[in-house]
Amino acid sequence: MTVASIRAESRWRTWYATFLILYRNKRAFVGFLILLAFLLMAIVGPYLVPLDMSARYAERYLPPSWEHPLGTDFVGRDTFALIVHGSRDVLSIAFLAALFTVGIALAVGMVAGLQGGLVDAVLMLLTNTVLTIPKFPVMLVFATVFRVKDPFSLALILSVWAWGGLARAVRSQILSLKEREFIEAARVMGLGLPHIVVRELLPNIMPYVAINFLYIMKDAITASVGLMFLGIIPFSATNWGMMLNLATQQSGAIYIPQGLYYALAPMVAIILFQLGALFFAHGLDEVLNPRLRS
Amino acid sequence: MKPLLRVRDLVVEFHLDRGTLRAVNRVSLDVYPGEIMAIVGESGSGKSTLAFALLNLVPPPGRIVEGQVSFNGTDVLALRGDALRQYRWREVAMVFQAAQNVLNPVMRVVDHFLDTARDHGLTNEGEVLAWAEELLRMVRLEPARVFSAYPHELSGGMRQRVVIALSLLLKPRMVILDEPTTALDVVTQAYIMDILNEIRREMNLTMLLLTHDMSVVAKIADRVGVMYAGQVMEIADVDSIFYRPRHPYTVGLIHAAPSLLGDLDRKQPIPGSPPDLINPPPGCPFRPRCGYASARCEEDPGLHVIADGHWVACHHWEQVTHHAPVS
Amino acid sequence: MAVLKRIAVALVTLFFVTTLTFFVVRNTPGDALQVWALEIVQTYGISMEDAMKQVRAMYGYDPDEPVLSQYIRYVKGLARGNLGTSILYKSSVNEIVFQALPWTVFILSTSLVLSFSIGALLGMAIAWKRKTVLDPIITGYAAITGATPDYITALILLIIFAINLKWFPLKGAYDPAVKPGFTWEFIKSVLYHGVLPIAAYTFENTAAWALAMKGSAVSVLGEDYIMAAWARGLKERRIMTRYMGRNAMLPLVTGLAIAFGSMMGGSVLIETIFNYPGIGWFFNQAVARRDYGLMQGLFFLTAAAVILANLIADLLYTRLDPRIRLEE
Repeated sequence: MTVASIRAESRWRTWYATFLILYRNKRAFVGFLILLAFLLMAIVGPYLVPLDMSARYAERYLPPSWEHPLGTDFVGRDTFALIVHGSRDVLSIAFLAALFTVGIALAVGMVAGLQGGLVDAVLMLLTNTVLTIPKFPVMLVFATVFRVKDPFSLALILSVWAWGGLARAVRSQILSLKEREFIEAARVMGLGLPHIVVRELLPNIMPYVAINFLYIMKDAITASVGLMFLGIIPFSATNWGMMLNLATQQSGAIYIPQGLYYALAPMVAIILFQLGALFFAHGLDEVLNPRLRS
Repeated sequence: MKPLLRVRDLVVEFHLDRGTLRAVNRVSLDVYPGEIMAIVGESGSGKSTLAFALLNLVPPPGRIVEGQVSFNGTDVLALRGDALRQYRWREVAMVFQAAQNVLNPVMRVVDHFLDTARDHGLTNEGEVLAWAEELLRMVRLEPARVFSAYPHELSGGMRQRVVIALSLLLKPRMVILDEPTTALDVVTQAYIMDILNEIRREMNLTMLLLTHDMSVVAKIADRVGVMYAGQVMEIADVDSIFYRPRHPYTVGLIHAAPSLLGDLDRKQPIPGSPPDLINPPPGCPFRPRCGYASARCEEDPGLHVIADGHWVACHHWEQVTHHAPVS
Repeated sequence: MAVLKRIAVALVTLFFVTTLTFFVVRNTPGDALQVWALEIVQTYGISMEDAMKQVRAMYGYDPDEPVLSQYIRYVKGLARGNLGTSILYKSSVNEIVFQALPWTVFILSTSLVLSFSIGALLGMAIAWKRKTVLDPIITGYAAITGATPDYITALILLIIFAINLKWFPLKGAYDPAVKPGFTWEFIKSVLYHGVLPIAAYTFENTAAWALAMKGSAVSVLGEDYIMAAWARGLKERRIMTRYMGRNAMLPLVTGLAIAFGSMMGGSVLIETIFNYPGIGWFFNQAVARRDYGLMQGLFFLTAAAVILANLIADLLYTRLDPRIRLEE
């Protein structure tokens, strides 16, 4: 078999595997549907559901109705519209954060795995530090000191201490791939390091990275909503974390029964998204890691 | 003489995704008090499963489907709960394959002796320890050093001797030895076989030795059962097996063992490989590898008596000669 | 030797984290000090310049001092056990830690012990019995807690049990009407106030322990020494605890430190939600009021605690697994 054909086959197998998971694994399929719904909500939702941020105190804390499917908030705004518009914010931050995290993790893991020696030792010490020190306080310190004002910088802060696990996993995958025949073949054929990395190594660890992308997005949402909940990064009023902050700290909606719909809406949204991500990622895991199948 | 262990038509099946695997297929045999009975067969012949079935300890997805095992008159397969627990090790103990990690890695050696004694109602720790020390000395280990050691601190040969000592702790009537020396080097193998022989004589033990090694059988066994594909092919005393084998597979085994004939060049492995035990075709399982095979062999020959104490499962046993080449 | 190496790695990690936070945080204490100085100007009517001087002296901050010398002073302070000064509370961070740490330690250790032991028992039971109704229940429970951030669990518990049912208090570590001391009344009050935070952590973490234990126990059950134990006619209970349990527990020990770390990290949110005056609650105060001194001190404490926990777990592991001990 040629290097190219092995590569083509592994790529084909990835697509086929993805298809198989959705076909066979009910949980993964449910997860996929949930993720798809959130994706649609974030991309086209804001165009379909208008958001009126003006305050109408007469309509505060309304229960769910046809007009307001999730009721209204403490100044009479439609909760559903807040959730829909917030989803774009939450998902884009999480997506960016996952992108940065995966980028750092790939860089660290691949350099450590390919270089070895002192570079590897130093990078692994750094990775261990990142894994040991809990990430939420670190993010908190960074977010406080650097006064985050936009999704981009928030995503950076979310990723700066989140790449440890994936970096370590990528490194060990690289170490085992390095021993494999087709990498050896590429090296013998005189193909340079960039070629080996881009054409041989990356495609092989991509399925694994894709699964972790979902897990990282899930964690990024947990962390970003947590930060917003504490009220440190108040740049968007519709973000679910901001909604939670307003519901619990500012408006006191959780203390009155009428406010419950409003307070629960962002929580349910978060839990649903996370459940979708978990189910789908776990389904992918099961198919791509034969070890887990039983 | 009345047999100590009587096995009749024992069937053990494993229910797997691919189908049902018959690891032990209608096995019948007797073991008499004080003798060493060897069961010979290649790996995968069902010896180990047979051993576990004799302790009524077949791990899932395996199941004893039918047959009888009676030990000293007790119906072993009917035993439940504490009675079964007491039967194990007190009546029949087992020495596992040397390659397995039989000892709990987080427990000191001495605790294995104490645990076993305690759960069989021996509460006098001093007495138990004294007896355990004697056993360890019997297998030529230094009790003081071995007791406080963790399993991983011992060599393979030492570990196996500990396991042998442990098997004798409750003075069982019978000990099953499952490939007791396979993973060990040749010198240690011989050493351990000597120890076993000595213990047997001293304690008047009955032993059931499961092995693939014909040279071990020749050295130590009184009687031999030959197993293939979960079935017994031939049972006879050791002399008959080696000088008057009546099953082609037995002949093959003898020729495949180099040291027996003392001539390495004449070592002849049996051609072909053992059959798939999932849904095998009816008839003699050795047929595809057998030089004597005929149309008749598609019919199950069944184990039958051909001489006093000599049983064979072959239609062509009369034609089989010692020096006949296999296929 | 191995122990020394682990301690060295722990110290290097701590040193690295300290240095990082120093340079991250030291960037910007200026404006917080200004707020403090303004307060003094307003209260005592002295000039802003004098107030700044006073504040800087109290805080130990001199903008003209070279960064390196500031850094060395900071590290020396830490080495002497001085965690710094809080602008907000106008006291040393050590004092704040002294009153806050016991509460956090109480909540975290209780939750850790509860969730670990309940989870481990459940996991063992599932592995032992193979097909029980417990298995899908735990899997579902794990999916739910996996998808629910701990602070949402805490919020839901707060809304149900404190706000609506009013079974448990909304804030505090004990009833201020009760005099602290070694009295039954005080202990009762502490336990009563601790129930919700402990429940939040325990609910959140138990399923994960159960799944981890199940995985570990299932693989241990495939080991030869389990079969050998059955063959020796040992009692079921002994095989379950000494043979399966003890071995299955080993790989989870290092997980304890990781769990402790993430719980400690989550305490900022949990303690804020329950208004529980532990390290996390003060951390949130420091962050909300931009009290950098307090923030830095508490962060150092958190990092040190987690690193220590990891070290202990590492050493514990080598104690518990005789095979590791030999390799030292």
